[in-house]
Amino acid sequence: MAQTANAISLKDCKVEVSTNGSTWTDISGFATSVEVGGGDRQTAEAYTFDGDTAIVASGKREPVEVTVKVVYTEGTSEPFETVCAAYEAGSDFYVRWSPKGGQAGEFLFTSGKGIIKSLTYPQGEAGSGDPVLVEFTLVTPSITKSAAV
Amino acid sequence: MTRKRERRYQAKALLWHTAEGRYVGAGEEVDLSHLSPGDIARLVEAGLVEIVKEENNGTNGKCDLSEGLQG
Repeated sequence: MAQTANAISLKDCKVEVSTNGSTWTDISGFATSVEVGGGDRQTAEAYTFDGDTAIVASGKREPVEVTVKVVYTEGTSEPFETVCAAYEAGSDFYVRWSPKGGQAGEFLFTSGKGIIKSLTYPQGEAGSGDPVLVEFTLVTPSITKSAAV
Repeated sequence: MTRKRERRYQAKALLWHTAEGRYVGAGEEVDLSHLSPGDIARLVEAGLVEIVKEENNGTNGKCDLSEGLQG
């Protein structure tokens, strides 16, 4: 098969957050990275005296963890404050991202209703000129892929 | 005055309708009036939506009013 010419980078990625799953706030101007982990399907195996290989069975899928790193700012409606409020309240939170930017026909990956499991507070060293970053991790049952129209 | 009939579209995959702020499931009719013809053509080409085939009632889109004028 010929080599693809359709590879993309995340330079145009759009990242959004929501507290209700229907009204979304674009935080692309704050977000610096998105990492996704977990979601493995549980598997188990058993061996019998006959044969040389395992009998493998499948179980349920584990939760997915989405970690988003954002620039720390202090506006009341900006990501740190929004996330911090949901983290402290243990309230519902959603994240979605579109690798290509979310224009018509481009895919969106949307978390289910999740809980912010961890949040880093602003931290750093005196000698650094780096913008302060914070990150939060959302635990959610699954990610839904859809296409924007 | 004749009014151009709008084409209707049906989702072939799960869609997020940005104008309506909701999901549209595969098989559901989807309103694409907020998109440009170019965007719609790309969606069709990508296999995300398809044009809903209109049932032909034999009138070729013309409305027959003759029955209503009789008697």
